[in-house]
Amino acid sequence: MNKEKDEIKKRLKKFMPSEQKQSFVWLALSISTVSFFLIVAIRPTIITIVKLNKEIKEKEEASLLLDKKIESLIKAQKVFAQNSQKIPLLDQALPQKSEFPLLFNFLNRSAEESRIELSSVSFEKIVLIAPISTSKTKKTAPKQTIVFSATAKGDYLSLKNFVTLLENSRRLINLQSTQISEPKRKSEGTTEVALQLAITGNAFFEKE
Amino acid sequence: MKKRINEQILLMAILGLTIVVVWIYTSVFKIIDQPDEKPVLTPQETKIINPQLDQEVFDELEKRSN
Repeated sequence: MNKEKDEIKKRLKKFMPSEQKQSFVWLALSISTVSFFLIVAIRPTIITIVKLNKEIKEKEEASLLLDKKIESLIKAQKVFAQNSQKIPLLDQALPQKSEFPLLFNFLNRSAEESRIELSSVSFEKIVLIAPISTSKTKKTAPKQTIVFSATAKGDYLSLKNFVTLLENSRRLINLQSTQISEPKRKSEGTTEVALQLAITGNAFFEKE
Repeated sequence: MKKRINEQILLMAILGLTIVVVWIYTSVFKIIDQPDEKPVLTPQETKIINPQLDQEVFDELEKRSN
């Protein structure tokens, strides 16, 4: 009976691995399982957590920035309300359109005030109605200046006064060049010294 | 020989685990460093206007002729 038992044990031992071998297999299996779950479950979870954290941080920063912006807008609104009566002054200084008739009127009035004779005034080509832009045509940035030139006759002090008036105009004007010259006298006998002034400049307006 | 094979399997498993851990670590840092494709706010939205107004401008404008 005992012999039979021993024989069965021997046969079983052949099929059963040793304890060390078993532990190796278990350890390898455990490590493989951990690796598998790291790839399949842990990695996507960690990545999602990191992404969400990053998003939360960015949105918090954006929220702070927007809060600041709202605060500054409220302040600006108050300042605007306080100075609402003075806003037309800004419109006069920087009109929304080219407003060249007003500019011409101003030049004319200034000439009258300075007692000079305004010989000619010319403006650059002005587009009153912008053409409808199609998808094929490139959209160009609208111009914000209107170029004008004027010539006037008068004595030196009057011409100087005229230039000063232009420089002190409420509307934003940039005088590019002023040229004073002495025209040829028709008759030698005249004592009056009439000078000729040529001015070119830019008048600014807000982008439409 | 059989013992060696077992050791090699274990070694491969440990190596695999190490690679996986390093891979996860690098991919996390890659996400942190990578800039966003779509920012939360557009550049126009991030502009903050200055609410301070120079009152002298109005006084100066009033003095000038129109």
